[in-house]
Amino acid sequence: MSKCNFCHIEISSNSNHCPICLKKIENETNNKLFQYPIYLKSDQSIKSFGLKLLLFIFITFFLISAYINFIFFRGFPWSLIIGASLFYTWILIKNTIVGKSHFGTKVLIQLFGISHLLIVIDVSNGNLGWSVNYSIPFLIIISNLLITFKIIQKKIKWRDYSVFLITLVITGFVPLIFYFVNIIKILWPTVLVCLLTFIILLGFFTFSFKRFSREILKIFHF
Amino acid sequence: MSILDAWYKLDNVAKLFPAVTTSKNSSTFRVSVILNTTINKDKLQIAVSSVIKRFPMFAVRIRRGLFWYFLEANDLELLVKEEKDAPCTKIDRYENNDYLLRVLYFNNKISVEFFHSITDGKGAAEFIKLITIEYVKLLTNDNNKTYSLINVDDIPLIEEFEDSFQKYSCSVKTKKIKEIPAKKISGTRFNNFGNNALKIIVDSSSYKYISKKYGCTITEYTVALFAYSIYLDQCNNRNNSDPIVIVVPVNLRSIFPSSTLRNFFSTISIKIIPQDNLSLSNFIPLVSAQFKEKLVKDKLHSEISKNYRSERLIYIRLAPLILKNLILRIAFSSGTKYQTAALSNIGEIVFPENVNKFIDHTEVLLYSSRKNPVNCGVCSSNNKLAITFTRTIVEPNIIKKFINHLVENEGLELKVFTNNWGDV
Repeated sequence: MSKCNFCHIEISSNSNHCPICLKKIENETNNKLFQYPIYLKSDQSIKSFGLKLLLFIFITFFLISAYINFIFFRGFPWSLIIGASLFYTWILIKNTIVGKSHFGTKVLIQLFGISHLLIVIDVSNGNLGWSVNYSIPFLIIISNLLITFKIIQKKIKWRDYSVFLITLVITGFVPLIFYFVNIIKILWPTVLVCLLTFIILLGFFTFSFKRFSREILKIFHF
Repeated sequence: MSILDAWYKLDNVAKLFPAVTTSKNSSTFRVSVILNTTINKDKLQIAVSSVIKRFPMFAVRIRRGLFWYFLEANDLELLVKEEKDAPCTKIDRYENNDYLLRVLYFNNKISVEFFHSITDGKGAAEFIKLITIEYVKLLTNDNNKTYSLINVDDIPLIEEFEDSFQKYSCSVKTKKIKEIPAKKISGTRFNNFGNNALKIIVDSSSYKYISKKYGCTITEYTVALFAYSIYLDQCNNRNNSDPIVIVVPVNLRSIFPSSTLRNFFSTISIKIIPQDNLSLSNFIPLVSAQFKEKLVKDKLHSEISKNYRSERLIYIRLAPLILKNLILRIAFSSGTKYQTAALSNIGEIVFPENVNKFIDHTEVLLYSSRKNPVNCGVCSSNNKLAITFTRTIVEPNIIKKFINHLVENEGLELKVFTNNWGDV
């Protein structure tokens, strides 16, 4: 150990200064005695800088697009599509590619991200309604199936996906509400989503009632 | 029901931490054992994998319910890792197989870092003690049973899972005491947030002798010296300063007959009102008197009962988790106004004799935050007392005053270890 002649203490440190009085001390050569590591710049801080840079580029690109679109406006708000695309790309990179969140979370975020992008494209092109009538119901079907297959594939991990399953069940019936409030005009894709959701729910009740009810008990305990 | 179906409600104290934890307030503390030989990762992994089975209440992950968080059994492997980051950083569940604890090694040191919702200092000490015992057994190829209170082959006792807050709460009336905001430690923040750790190793007997000389316990003496160091460094206008308040966690197992390994602690606040020309001799009787006044079973009983009752109010229970988190964050933020720093003494970690010869000393590190930038952890083993300061500010002045007093006024020989986080 090194000694600080000013503080009269023995020091083990990878620095050549006393941590108390900051005066120079003889540096220890035997790093086997160190009890704390030398800290390197973590991958996390590099990743965090990269994401910040990307966000900055995306916002700048959107603001320039919005400015050009506004100045030379010809009746088509194309900058909104660019904004929505950039937003979706950001979600895709941050959550799905870089992020370490649960598969279920990733599926849900993708569902909401893609739905949002499709609605913006649809509305910008004259609000024909294809996004809510066809695309989003089919996206819900795909998400439901992805989660269900994952649960079947990893039976033991059933509880990992239960919250997402419950969320998707709720999502599965949302198009029906939209139909009754006249946002969705075409019935058959909506009914197809509800039917599939109901079949999945019935399947889980039939084969995993105990697990399902235990999950409900945990999630709703108060 | 299989072990994997097991789940636990969070205890009264544990409910706070998930709501208030951020990267700058990690709610993660560390207990370490420093051995005499370099750690063998493979043997440590074997020891950890067997010990975690004895502590199923720690082999859990946290999940969100609609009204409360809950813990459920985690069947993934608890992997040991080499220590690379600053101590007590927030535990990232995705990097840690969903566990709310880490087992780390570095040179001669084994550390466990716990998210506070899982356990307190006592539980963590028992866990690392058993890991060390099993590791030493592997190191020495010793298959004999090493007797300690908890053995790896024992079946976990039901009492170890117990929520003792629930068990020992009762309906008592409590008076609301109006608090005044405490002195906050000021200093320059590190460029990169993290805990600077500075550990002082001192001979336990000598330190105890000095405490006795002042007529107090080790904890009382350390709290008094810590408060006195804050007074010397931070209270420039000594007649017009807010009180220095040191928060001291109390192990309730020594007061109530509980053997739970989950959280079972309360805190007492030791308050000193700064005045001109105070010396350490003035601080010690003030601190000792407050310990005697506040470390009383009835007072602690009413304190835990009050906290437990507030959790059981029907409108609190039925509030969605998102709203509860918001309320807890506001309450926590306002609560930190009444604290200057925290000091936790987890006491002596005693190892069986055949293991003790491999141990040099132990240490405990508390997490510091922006609002509580200097904290102190104390523990001892092998007649070596470790006083470890963690700080998130550049200035080491409070610690300097603490060390200077021990060296110059008490004539103690100190060894200091530091991680140099944030040092220039």
